Amino acid sequence: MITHYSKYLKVLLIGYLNNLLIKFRIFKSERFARYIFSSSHIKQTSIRPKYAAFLPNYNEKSKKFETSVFRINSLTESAIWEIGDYVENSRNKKAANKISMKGYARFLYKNVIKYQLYITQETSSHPLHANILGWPTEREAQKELAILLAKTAILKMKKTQI
Amino acid sequence: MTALTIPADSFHTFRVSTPSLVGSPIKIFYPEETKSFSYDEKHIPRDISDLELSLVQIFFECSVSDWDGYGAKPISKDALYEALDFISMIPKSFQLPEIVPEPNGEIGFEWNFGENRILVASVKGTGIVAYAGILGNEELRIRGTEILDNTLFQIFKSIINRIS
Repeated sequence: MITHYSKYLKVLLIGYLNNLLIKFRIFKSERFARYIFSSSHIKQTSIRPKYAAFLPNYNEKSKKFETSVFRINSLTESAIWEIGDYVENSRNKKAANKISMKGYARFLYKNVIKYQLYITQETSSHPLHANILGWPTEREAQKELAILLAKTAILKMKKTQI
Repeated sequence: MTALTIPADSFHTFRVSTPSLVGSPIKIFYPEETKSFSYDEKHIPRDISDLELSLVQIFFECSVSDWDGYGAKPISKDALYEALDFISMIPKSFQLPEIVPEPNGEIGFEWNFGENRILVASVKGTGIVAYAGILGNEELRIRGTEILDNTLFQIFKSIINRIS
């Protein structure tokens, strides 16, 4: 049990240290990860995620459309996966239906602002958490942007996925 | 392979185009125990029956809240029935799309022919289809909404002819 919690503490500590290093500013070349938990948002034979992996969720509190992402610049590959595991486990503790991480979509901030979207830090759940904001409200406009984001992202599959 | 578990005591009625059951509703009932079957993630729909099966499998997976881990809305039966209508209207000359659930509870259909050649459309049970696509060049994009009828597929035909 101690090992279990120490792993989470390690993930949070990595996040806090990275936050101090990058001093809250997001650079154009900065890398982000969108963790994917639905097998319908990936395709085994493709290096890209499906467009729906980037579609925003509507946040009732903020009244905004948001796509939850994580800052992964300067993180090792294993640290990136550990954040994904942390997101998965944090979510599964609160919900009856369990999900499992299938992989993550890696993308650059410059490919977000290219399409008039932007990313803002939102660190209440994790020091490296952020949201893609600026989404239009129209369904078709959201699809268009999600297609554009997906086509510039690289899909990294979790190794246990067959 | 991904095992898909269907909740016990659930049933759903579908209309499918499986030849022996054309036009007939099918009630799938799981009375006492949790049933499971495998969904091959590499499976690409080869015909309309395959596509309908994919749709049903995805519906079961995404008919609960937060199926994507980010608070996604469940896919409603209205969206499912409209998706079945959408599938029944796909012209025979079209390559079959892939089914993609969307976090706002809509059911998406994706025709992807490669880099910058993609069309996606979605239904949510309101009779209005939203679509967007890239037509061979990132600068050439299209998007819109249309009523779900044959006019929609005339539009899609011209898009798919261009990008396939």
